[in-house]
Amino acid sequence: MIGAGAGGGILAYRLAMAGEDVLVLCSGKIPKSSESSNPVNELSPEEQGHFGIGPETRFPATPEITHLSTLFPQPDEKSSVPLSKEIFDHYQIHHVNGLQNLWNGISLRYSESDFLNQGSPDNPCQWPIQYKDLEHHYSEVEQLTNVVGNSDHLAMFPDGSFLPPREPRDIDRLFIQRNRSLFGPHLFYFANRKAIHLCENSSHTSEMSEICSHDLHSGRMYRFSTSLLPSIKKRSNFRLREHTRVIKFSSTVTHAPSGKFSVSEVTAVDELTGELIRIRADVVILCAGGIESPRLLLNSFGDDPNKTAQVGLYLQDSPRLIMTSSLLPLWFKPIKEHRGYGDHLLLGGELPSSEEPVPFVAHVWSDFVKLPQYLHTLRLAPRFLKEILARQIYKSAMVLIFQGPSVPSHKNRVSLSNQRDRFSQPQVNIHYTLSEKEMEFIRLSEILGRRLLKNAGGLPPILRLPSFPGAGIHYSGTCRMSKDPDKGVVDENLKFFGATNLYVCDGSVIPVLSKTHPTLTIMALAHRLGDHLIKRYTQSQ
Amino acid sequence: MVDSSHHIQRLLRLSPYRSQIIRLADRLPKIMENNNQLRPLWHRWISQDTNALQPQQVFSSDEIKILRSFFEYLYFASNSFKSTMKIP
Repeated sequence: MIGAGAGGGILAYRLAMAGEDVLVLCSGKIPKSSESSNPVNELSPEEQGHFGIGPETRFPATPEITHLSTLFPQPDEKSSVPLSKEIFDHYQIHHVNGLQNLWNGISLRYSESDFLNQGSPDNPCQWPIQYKDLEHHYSEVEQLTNVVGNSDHLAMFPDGSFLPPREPRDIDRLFIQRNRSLFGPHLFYFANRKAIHLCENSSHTSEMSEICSHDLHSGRMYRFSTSLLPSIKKRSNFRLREHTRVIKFSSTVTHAPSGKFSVSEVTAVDELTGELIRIRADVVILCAGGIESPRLLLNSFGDDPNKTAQVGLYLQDSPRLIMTSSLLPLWFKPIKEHRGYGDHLLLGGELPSSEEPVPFVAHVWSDFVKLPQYLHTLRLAPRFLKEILARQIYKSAMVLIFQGPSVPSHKNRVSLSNQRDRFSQPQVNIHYTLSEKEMEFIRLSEILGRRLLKNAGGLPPILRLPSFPGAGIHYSGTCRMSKDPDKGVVDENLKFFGATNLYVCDGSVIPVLSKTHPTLTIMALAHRLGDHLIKRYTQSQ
Repeated sequence: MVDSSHHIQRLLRLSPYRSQIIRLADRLPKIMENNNQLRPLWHRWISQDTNALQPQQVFSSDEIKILRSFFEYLYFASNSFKSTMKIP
């Protein structure tokens, strides 16, 4: 297996526990866990060392999502060539857990309608499976990763197998109360569903999280490395090799008339020594993510259009809008409770538009404002007043993060570049443009977001944070599933079309990215693939 | 890295929050070095600073504003400010 992110981690665990011989090859290392015996321990910007200041931070500081993870790669290790944020804000993590190192834990099932195919039968992006094909696997993964939630009976967000969630906080109750006249069938709230890492000595106490894109300490939300790896790493049939960067597959033709081939060898480079390593396996499973997986496939088979005509096409990411304000009703009130895992509530519904209503999901996020990016709003205040106002803003901020469906386009894609990384491997060019529908979604979200925050007592200015394509960090579509090899890269069992022993199992296989976060679906697909492989290869043996 | 504590302490004179963040002085050169906007200002200061020179003689008024914003930001991101909040 190449990679141990959302898909690879679940699959590695599933196969190892079933007794299969599993070798996982991962770039980078197993990130350190910062678990503490104190379940509400939280590092301040000072304790983190960087104070929330990155290379691009500008002063006077303004609200922005700051790129500060210590796990981000150096420029010469990146998958993609340097890009401006405005084109595609490409987040990369080349370590065990992959982009799940940034994951906020949100675990929502795709609904039945998310699997239904839209548009004409010629639509090249169609699910070859239905909700019922994943339902059992969703339940298994929810239990494996300790997802909290309630039974809400929402068609848009199917119920699952949950632990009890944390209760709404005072700020959540304020938000609900002040917006109650807006709630109905087209706008509703429900308890967030998150895959938590349970504290020691506690069965149902969840830890805090921070928002995606910060250096989220593992141990708070589910991570393969902290939650599942400990159970399998000592098994004799399991091995994880860190600092191992796979650079190419070699293949041999197994049936010339049909062009069927098998992956005969995997070539990797030891990132620490530079040594080339060659591995042979009965089955090769690529779990490197929505950008890295097509990169590897194009680098391996790019000279054969029969193999790669569809690889890298239909890159998708979740369009997003982030808004924030300080809620006046909380000013000069004592802080009565800790902030828990930050987003205890989600919103869901449909935004009215001139065409069809647009489905959406939104985080209702509130945590102490540790990074004083609000100071520019206080620039005219005298010092003594600034300190008083800053204390009120610190405890009263609310952030709404809206997310909508992506619109697949063949123009959005990855392709090999002439530029190379430090391992002499071609990087990729990312071609990406937001569609009119996605921009309309962002516009409609802003209208609703302003109204919700204003109702909740949000003080002006209600800020809209810059959010660029790629900042959804839900890279999908580039190795999409399909029934038709002319319209996809992998079949309904995630097997690469034309190959006998190559599978892909990560976000790249999702053909249509809905409004819902894809991580749980990726994990359920991985669990399903695990069952399929165990059945297929155990039976054949 | 240049022994920079002396330079930082003199630069902190720009800030009304000096007394609250002076304890962080040894960490500031690295933060400034890693930031694209602050790095050239820091380099200019350490190359030109003498005991006789004031920051206002080295930096423009806009640059002084940037530095003051930075020091102010540090205070409100620091544990010193956090300790003024009564968090359960």
